[in-house]
Amino acid sequence: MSILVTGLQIALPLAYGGLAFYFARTFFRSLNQAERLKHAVPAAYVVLALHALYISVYTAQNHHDLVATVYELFSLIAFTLLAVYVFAELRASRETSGTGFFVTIVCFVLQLVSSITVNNEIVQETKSILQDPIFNLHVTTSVFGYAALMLAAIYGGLYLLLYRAIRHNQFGAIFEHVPSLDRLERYGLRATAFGFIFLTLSIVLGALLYARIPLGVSASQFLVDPKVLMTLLVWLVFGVTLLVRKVVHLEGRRLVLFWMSGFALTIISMTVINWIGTSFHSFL
Amino acid sequence: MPENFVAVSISHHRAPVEVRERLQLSEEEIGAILKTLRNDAEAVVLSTCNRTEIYAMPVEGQAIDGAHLIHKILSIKELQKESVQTYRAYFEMFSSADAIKQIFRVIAGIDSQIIGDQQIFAQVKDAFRASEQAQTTGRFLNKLSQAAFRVGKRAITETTLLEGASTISYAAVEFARKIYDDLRSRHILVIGAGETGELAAKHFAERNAGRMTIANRNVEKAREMLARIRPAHASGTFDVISLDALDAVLPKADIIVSATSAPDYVLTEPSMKMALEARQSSSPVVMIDIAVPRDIDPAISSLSNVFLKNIDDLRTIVDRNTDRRRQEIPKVEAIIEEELARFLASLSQLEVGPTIKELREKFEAIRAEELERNHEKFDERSFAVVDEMTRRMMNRLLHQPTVSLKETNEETSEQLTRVEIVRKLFALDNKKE
Repeated sequence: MSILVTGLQIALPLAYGGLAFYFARTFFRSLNQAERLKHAVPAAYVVLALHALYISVYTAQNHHDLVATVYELFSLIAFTLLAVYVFAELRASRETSGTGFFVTIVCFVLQLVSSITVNNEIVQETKSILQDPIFNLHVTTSVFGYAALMLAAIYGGLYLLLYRAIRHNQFGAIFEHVPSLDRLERYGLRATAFGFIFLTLSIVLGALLYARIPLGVSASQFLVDPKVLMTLLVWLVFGVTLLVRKVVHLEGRRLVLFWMSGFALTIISMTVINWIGTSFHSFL
Repeated sequence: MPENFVAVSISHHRAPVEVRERLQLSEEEIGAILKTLRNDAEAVVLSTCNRTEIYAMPVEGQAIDGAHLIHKILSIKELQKESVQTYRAYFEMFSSADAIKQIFRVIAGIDSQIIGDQQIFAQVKDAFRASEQAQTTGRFLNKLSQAAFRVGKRAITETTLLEGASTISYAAVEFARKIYDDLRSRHILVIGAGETGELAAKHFAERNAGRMTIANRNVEKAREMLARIRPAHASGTFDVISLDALDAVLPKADIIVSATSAPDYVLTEPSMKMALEARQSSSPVVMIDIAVPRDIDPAISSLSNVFLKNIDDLRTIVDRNTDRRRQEIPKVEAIIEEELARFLASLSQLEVGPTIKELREKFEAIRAEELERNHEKFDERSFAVVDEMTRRMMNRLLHQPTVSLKETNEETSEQLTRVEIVRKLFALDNKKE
């Protein structure tokens, strides 16, 4: 089984890379819409199936889901990001194919980092919390939330790129193939709303988990934990983005910059805090 | 046979606009030309602002050449004798496969002044329809029209020839849609009711503009323009205002197109600054200045959340699209070559069937005639034997020519030549449908 896991860890970045290459090829070349997306959806399904196989085999081998370390999470987020993208956008709208290249590049990077850094040592005994259903739900909702926020960030990044291209009269591939600013804003908001809902669920489940399982930290320690703090901050930024924007007429570039700052906090939460901060969010 | 197919064309390639407009044909004139050709040829006449062309396939026994067709056009225009000589020089003549290729190139849009012209497909279709009504289409032109439509459709679906704006007014709309692709919830302000403004307003109206205001010094002229551009089943709100009322509308407008002939700026930086401050949204404002001299103060482009583009910026988009369209021409040419081969093959099949049938009928007629003439010399039994023997003999004699005619694994032109030779050798009548 370990050979299969290793094989899939090599195959997955290649598969995501191939998918990104396919989207890049169609993005930079002037092909008509029909040709552009002829194989995109089936190709994405193949990659998703391959990744689903990897998750199953990895879980069976390591006796826990891909949620114990940040590197495992990277892989799960890559999978979720592609799945959300395929089901929310790619299948529904052929016009928005311009975003596919950027989504798959992010998936590729996430999976590559995960494949290189993930610890393949078989863990026979894992912390009991990893077997807890609420814990798994807590992490799953987090992953969905972060994947949606990442998708929103991709839309936001594209918005800023297109905005710049238009202002500077750069009528190249970005101008031609990326969807309109209006549409990117709509998609970004939708992804943000999706992410916010899942993040809310994750926070509630996290609180429930804290009440249920003794983690060896006091309530005050729990609240000042860097990861908890950052997550609450991220949640607040996206909450403000969604709820207050109508009242203060927050639209267009300003809105995008606001939600991108929320995403920057997310990245800090997922990386810097994980590496340098002391957190009870460590399970191996 | 396609060798007899001829075409004459006067187009933007050779003729200046004053010549083209002089020779542009009205529906009545097209009808009149087709009427004069009805007994001599299958014919189709295409006349647009950029070209006037006649394609003709003479019926059996008739001969028509390019000069004859040019004369048809010039004579219907009742030109002076000296003008006739001048105009004649602007014509191009095509024959056989070149004439077929010409109509394929025209319908695909690669022969147009604006490469990938989207209107030409419908114009060629209308031309064939007019020929059908004038009863100047036959077996050949029916086949040709099908092939031509196929070329046009393939050029659209298999290449990017039609992608991107190719005119300034269309580029203005495409540019605005890169910011707001759904115009149903957007307020569009068009300043100026001249030709350029009207074209842009028309494009916006056709793309479901939610609200459109036309501002003009002369409100009555704006109203007339509105009546012309408003789609029949438009769901949006349309209104007109005087230029004096502009300041009230500016804060509400998401897209502003200006195309007046005013010598000074119609929109200045201070007025726009005030409008942005009064605006109840932080969504971008798209400003498109397609006037020369410019209507919108270029200093406005430095204001936050404003996209201001002028005619030169839009020209960049158009030029880029034109270059890309040019790069698609070889792909379209390849489609044309493919379809030409397919058309000629279908044409040879079209000729082979009737030729074999006519050949057999001719042989059978001779056989029957000879049998009848000698009927009395045989008793019933002997006659039956002779009848059977001559039938077999005829079938065996015709077997090899039939097989040869049906052979398709060679050049289409060779097959057509063989059909031609057989028809001539055996003096077969060419009864066109």
